[in-house]
Amino acid sequence: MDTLDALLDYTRILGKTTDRALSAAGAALRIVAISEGDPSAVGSLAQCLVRSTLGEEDFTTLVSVALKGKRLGITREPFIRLLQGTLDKGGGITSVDRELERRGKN
Amino acid sequence: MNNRGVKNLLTLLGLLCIPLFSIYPQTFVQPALGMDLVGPSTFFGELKGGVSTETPAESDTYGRLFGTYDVFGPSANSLRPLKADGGAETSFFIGPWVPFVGLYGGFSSPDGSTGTAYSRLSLSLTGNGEDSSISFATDGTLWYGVDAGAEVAGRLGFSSLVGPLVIKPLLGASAFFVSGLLQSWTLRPMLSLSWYPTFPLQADIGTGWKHSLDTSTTPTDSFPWSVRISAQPRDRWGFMVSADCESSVDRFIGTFEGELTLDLERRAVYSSWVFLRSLGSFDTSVSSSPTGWNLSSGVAFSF
Repeated sequence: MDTLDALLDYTRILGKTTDRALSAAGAALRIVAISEGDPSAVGSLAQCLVRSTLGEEDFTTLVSVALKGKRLGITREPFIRLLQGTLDKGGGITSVDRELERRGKN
Repeated sequence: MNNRGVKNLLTLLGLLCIPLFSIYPQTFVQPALGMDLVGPSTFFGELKGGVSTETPAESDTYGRLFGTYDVFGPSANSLRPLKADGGAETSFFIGPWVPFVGLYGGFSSPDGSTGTAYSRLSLSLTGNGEDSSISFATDGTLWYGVDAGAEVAGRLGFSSLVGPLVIKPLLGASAFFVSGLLQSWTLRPMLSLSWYPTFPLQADIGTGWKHSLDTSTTPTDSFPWSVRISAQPRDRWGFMVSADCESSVDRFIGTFEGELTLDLERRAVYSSWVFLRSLGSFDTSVSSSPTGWNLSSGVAFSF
């Protein structure tokens, strides 16, 4: 509950909607589960989604992006960091896709 | 140097050390046992693993060092060559632009005694928008050993998000040299699609045309294509199937792979999963039946 409270407070400060916060929380939970990340990363990832340029409808597609990361061997914290790093620098799903393919080749 | 100068120098050294102490290491190891299904049945062991470390996500400069290995016993073959790769990468974020430099090296041996080593320098510049991105990349590779030579390649690619699809047209060209003389060149326009639906499934398909000209023979045209599908229908169960093929008038070559995974309970310091994998290969210039086929199973650990 602390994580959700913190997310709702953060969302309010940014002037975004509660729906966006809840969509971000749901997507972050599934992304962390699929990529086998540390559960403590859910809060920071959800905040990243809330402040990102992505539309709420795009949050659920990131679950599929996590699957691609898993297939390419990019899981856990490296995947969460790749996702947050790319979104925080203004990138969208195309940027995450390109970054996954480049790193997945090695 | 006065006290202020010393203080400034120490501050600068401290700032330079921050990335070194902020790196995140990750290790993975995948032991497996398997059996060849084509030809005389042979059991084999495989140990795949690697280590990587990278700078924090919030940093404006991305850096990564990595090394991987893939070894087999008692003997390797063309389906499972012995391999080792390593590299260092760095990129910077200048507004929407991301210049990237990568330096790589590695070794691959199909039989454990002869093989090919390489060193590669990769440069790229990517421009990222909200729903599109453009990238220009160039590689220079030096090959040593059995297939010694040098290769230069360039690619211009564009990505655009249309609904759940990322559409990726790409134009690539490469040239291969031996002793400084051009041996062959290849032109490769490609179109790839990545599908990211709202349920846990992901698919990549790609196809194109490859025009190769060897200086001593007539040009050859072929159609490379690939399909990769991964899904996680249940919380812990997942599967993946993939095919990488190339068709021409008189030849079809390809590798096919399928994998079932079961995620095990996540621990504080590691996660793990069990996998059952099958790998096959075809080359119609050698045989009309599979040239290789194996089945393996093991446990993967990621620390």
